[in-house]
Amino acid sequence: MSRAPLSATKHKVPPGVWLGLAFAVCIDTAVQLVWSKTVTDVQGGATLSTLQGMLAHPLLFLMLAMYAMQFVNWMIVLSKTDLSFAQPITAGSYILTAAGSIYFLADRVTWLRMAGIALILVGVWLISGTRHHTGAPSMVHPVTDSLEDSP
Amino acid sequence: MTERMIGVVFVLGAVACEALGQLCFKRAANHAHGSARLSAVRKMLAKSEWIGAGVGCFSVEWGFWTIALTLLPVTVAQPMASVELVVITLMSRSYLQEQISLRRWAGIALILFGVCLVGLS
Repeated sequence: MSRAPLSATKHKVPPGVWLGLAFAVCIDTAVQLVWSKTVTDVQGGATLSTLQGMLAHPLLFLMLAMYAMQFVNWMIVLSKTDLSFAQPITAGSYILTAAGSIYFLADRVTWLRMAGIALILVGVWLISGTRHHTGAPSMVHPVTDSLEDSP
Repeated sequence: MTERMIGVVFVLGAVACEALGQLCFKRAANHAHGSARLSAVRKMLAKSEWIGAGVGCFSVEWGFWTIALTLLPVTVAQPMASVELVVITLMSRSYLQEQISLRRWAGIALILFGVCLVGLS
């Protein structure tokens, strides 16, 4: 199957895709914050008791609700973009988490952190300028699509 | 094997599960490409074996990551886990036939270094 070269035509990422990616970044950030809180709350015992503690923690239900929202949103985003386009852009959640910890938890603003945030921003900008869909959605992979065709 | 080494193994396990899970979800999502939103969700759910596999991978990843965080500080675990960006990109090229331009590789490299710096700060 021949496809146009990457630079052949101008491409525009639909606004709905950017909205979906922004939502994914916000949910990722919220999940990280809630997860860190629950791990901090239950940590102290053996690994198995930590896992059990996580499963019994009241915030688990909030995490599951957020995962459900993220799942629906992420599936819609993935139906419109490459995985290698969308996934790195969700690294923007690291920026939100760092900004949140600086603002709400009075974390120190270090040069190392600011340099890291700057690198992530430039990286996201570089990726945003690439074609958002280059994969071949209807291509059947001889190994991974064998579920329907296996004898 | 030290606790730290075991933690590293669990981080790498979480990375592998994340990459496999994302691949499964993308395989399901590809069947809805170009459709309107509601019919897209129906088409994706029709590929429930891929979604089920993805959910399974992410569930295992959750366990691995939780264990890793009890053995390693998050400032070590998080930068280490950022290698998933490279793993997912390589798997996208191999199994999803996505074209990865130099610009995209450059962006991924910068994000990888940026995440490491934020994690270490």
